[in-house]
Amino acid sequence: MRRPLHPAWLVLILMSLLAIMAEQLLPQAATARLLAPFSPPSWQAGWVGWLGSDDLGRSISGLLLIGLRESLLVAVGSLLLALPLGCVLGLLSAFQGTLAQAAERLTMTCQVLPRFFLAILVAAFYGATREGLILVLGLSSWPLVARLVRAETLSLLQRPWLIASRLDGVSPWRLAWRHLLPHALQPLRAAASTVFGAAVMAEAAIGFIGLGDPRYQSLGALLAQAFGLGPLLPWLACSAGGLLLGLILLVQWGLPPTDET
Amino acid sequence: MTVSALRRLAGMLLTTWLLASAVFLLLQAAPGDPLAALGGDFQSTETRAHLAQELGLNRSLGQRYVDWLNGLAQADLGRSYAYQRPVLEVILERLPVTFAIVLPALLGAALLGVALGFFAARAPHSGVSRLTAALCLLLFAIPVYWLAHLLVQGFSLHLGWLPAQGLRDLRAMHSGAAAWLDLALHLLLPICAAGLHQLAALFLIARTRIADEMRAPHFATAIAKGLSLGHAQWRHALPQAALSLVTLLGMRFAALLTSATLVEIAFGLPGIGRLFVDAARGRDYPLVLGVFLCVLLLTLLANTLSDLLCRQLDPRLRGAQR
Repeated sequence: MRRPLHPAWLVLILMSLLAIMAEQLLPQAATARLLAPFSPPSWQAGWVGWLGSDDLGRSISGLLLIGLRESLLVAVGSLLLALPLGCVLGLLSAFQGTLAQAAERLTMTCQVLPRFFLAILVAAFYGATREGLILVLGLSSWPLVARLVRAETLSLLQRPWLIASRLDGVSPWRLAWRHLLPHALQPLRAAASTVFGAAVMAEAAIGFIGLGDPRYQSLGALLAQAFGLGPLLPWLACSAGGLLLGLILLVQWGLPPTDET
Repeated sequence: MTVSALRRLAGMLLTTWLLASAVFLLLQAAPGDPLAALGGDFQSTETRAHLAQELGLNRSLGQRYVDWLNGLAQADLGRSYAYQRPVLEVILERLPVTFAIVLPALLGAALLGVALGFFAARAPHSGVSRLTAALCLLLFAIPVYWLAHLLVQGFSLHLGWLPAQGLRDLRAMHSGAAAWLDLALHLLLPICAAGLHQLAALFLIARTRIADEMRAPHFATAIAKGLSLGHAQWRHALPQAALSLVTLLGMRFAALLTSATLVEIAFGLPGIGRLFVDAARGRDYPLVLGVFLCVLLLTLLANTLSDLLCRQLDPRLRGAQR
């Protein structure tokens, strides 16, 4: 039986489509001066002028779309790194042996790594690039996934039908793929939600302190820009912050996260 | 107890050493040349050689690593390039500011969050409870720096009640109790900005966990024995829920340090978070490494403390070896 798609996912998919087509919908929004500086929001100029322009004359709606694209790219990218790594290491550490112990030790060590500080360090010393940020966030958030998968696997390994299939001589790989992973999906989804939300937050925070990828506009950088303008452009801060907030709330709504960080 | 505590301590030291070494290597492998950065564009070969000699940069990577470890063992983190002072001195000077934000935020969030969760758990589906939960969800998802900005807009610019920036009022030279009051007023908004996020997280978890315990058979027994609802909650739901709350508190400490960094930047406060960002921007290798180590140690310490506290709270864990 298939459940209908959660409404949060419909909105998220729509947002992703808009973000992917940012360059087509509003070309050069982040770089070109498309409007007069400080234009108020209006319908007349179409999409470009919908939310007015910033102090440089860039279209705010265009900047928001590009910021959204960056948030989603970084979050999805780090998720694609963290999930497989966490799954493999979590499964591995649930079994016995030297390799399992090493995997558990590695998980416990990497778990305390201060992610945000590492991201700042890498951005400052290796260059502020989107790819670097994805790498840091992905490689530092897999321990959460691994821990949840490990806990689920440990409890699953005690179930009678799993003991039966182990006694039956099913190979460990087949056991992991056919019997363990499908059951670990529920905690995996919760972990994915947490990792995704944390990545969106981290990307914006890095942008806010001015260490984001200078080639693209981050939503956090937009907020910093808005704060610098004081009370001049209230809708810039509101729209950029609101978009960030909405994104995180939507993901939490669609996929309830875990209590752990 | 002693043996397991010693084991924990050894594990903590091992983790610190592994991660700090990894970051040391990461910094050494970074592109760019600290000598070029320090000496400027038109340095002569002699200046360069002199600088390299002074900073020990003419030695091999292995030697530098051994030197660094040697220094660490003697609580010597090296000299900051930018401040020309020992790194430890610079960090210790900034640490109180960060603590003054983090500790009240953590304490306030824990007390208020759990207290609110305690009452909200009585009627998880009532209007007030749901409204509080929705508000907390919003507070949990809002970026800390935006919250800081909104607080400044509201309380400093609009109402004019609290100062918007810095640690002290530079125009009025207070002394004694007035100086402390001034400091507290300056720290109030940063503490709120950093703490509200944690408060929201703790409230949401406390509410769910306490409500879970209240559905358990032992709670029904307590009520059936004739205990009042408040007493039963206090004795038979809170202690069970406290365990996961304390664990969560320990694990959220890293997130709290991240919030504190952003708050320090937003309010212009001289804490270690801002020190780290400035040091990283100025390519001050020893200082960056030193602050990173400090953050790492604080995180590990918070985890260990929450573990030990859990052990105190739960007699079942006391006998366990790990």
